[in-house]
Amino acid sequence: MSLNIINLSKSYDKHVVFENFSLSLRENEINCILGESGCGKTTLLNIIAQIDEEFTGQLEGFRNLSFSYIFQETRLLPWYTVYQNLEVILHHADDKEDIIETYLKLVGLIDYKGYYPYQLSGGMKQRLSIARAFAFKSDILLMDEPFKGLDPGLKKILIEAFIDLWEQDKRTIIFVTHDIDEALLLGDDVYILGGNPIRKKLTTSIKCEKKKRLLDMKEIKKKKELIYKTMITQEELT
Amino acid sequence: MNKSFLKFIAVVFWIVVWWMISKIVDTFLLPSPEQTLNSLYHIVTGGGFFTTLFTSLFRILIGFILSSILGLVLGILSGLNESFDIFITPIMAVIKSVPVISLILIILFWTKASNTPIVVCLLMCLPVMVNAVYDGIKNVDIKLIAMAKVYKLNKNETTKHIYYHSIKPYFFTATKACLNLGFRVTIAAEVLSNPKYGLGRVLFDAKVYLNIADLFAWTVIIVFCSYIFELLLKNIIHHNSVKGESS
Repeated sequence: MSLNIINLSKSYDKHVVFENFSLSLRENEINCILGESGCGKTTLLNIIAQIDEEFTGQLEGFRNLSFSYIFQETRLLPWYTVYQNLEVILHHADDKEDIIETYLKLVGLIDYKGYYPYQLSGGMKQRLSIARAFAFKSDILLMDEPFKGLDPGLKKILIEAFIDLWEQDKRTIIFVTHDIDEALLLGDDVYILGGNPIRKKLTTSIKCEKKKRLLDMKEIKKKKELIYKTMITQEELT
Repeated sequence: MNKSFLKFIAVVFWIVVWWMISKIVDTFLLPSPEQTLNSLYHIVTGGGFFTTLFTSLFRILIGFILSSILGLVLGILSGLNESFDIFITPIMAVIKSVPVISLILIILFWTKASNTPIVVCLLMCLPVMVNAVYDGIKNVDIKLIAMAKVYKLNKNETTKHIYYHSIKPYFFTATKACLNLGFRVTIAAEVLSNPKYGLGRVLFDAKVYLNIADLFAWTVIIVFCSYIFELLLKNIIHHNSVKGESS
């Protein structure tokens, strides 16, 4: 079964972001949406998460699904400890203690469970945000450039932590980024948003299915060239 | 030189300045520190001191607590509901701009002299509380509210985990300001309404009998009590705050 966005239109005052935009996403895969900064990627995620409800069009297959969300900024509750930040979103779970311990171990924060967010580094906060998203039993996990602005070493650690967590339950992921390397590294399908406003006919999808998460260098180079070419064509058509 | 020692030196310096001026000026206008201390001793050891003191403190506390509770409720309602905010804005604006003396005299027409200070304290502190809670709600991080929505926190849970903690610093700042204000307006109301017991009543009597030393001694008592209450409140606030809340 697929998740379909049908004829989505969205604008802010006079600025049109999406115009009759449609997209089909696959379940239990990492769907990566690639687009330049400010093109409307976060808006799309907010619409899918039903945070933003002012749009026209249809979301097919998303009804009654639950979401977890790794935001660009961590959005942790500053007045709660690491442990409490997970406890808050697991309010209905019977075995919340076990779940919290498991996920804190997986992201390497078990020794920091009594710490407040202001006592953690940027990378640790983002790891906590990733743990929160996975600990919450959602149908779809939304990710809004969670690795943006991090130094390469930290980014590598977080991506590895993310892959380890995803391998465990393989839930549907919708991941938006402007970083081609990230898209190729993580995405099973990469959708390159095109047009201004974004339209269906200018949006291209590239399959990056992989048995192992990490593609070999040759493959990455080939796919990268393909993405660049697509982007140039989209620009010309726009 | 440490800070406490400097503070002590500052206090001593101003007492010496007071003492020196009292030597120059007529003691009828300005009593010396010794005369004030002497009056203070007689007031404390004489009869009726604790009745006077506790009656006023009781009035201040009742007015302060009522304004805190009512301010919290009205502030939350006006922060969450624009129509309610529009509805109460005119009355809050009137209370804020009415001179405290006018308010005391008006309330005195409507209530008993012993209740006037409580009502005045309540009314003067109320707009401060309402404004603070309103600001707290308006400054809640909407990104956290969106996070709560995604993670399916219901209204009660969102209030408990986000609104409550966001309002807390604003509310605590307002309580500090209101406690101070409460002391001043309650005693001012007692001076004008002249109830049987109260710090305002004894200040008024001291003025009528031209007893400036007593006036100074009672003022010292009021300042001391206000300081003690401020310390207690600071302590309560400190114990109810989490370090992360200030970030």
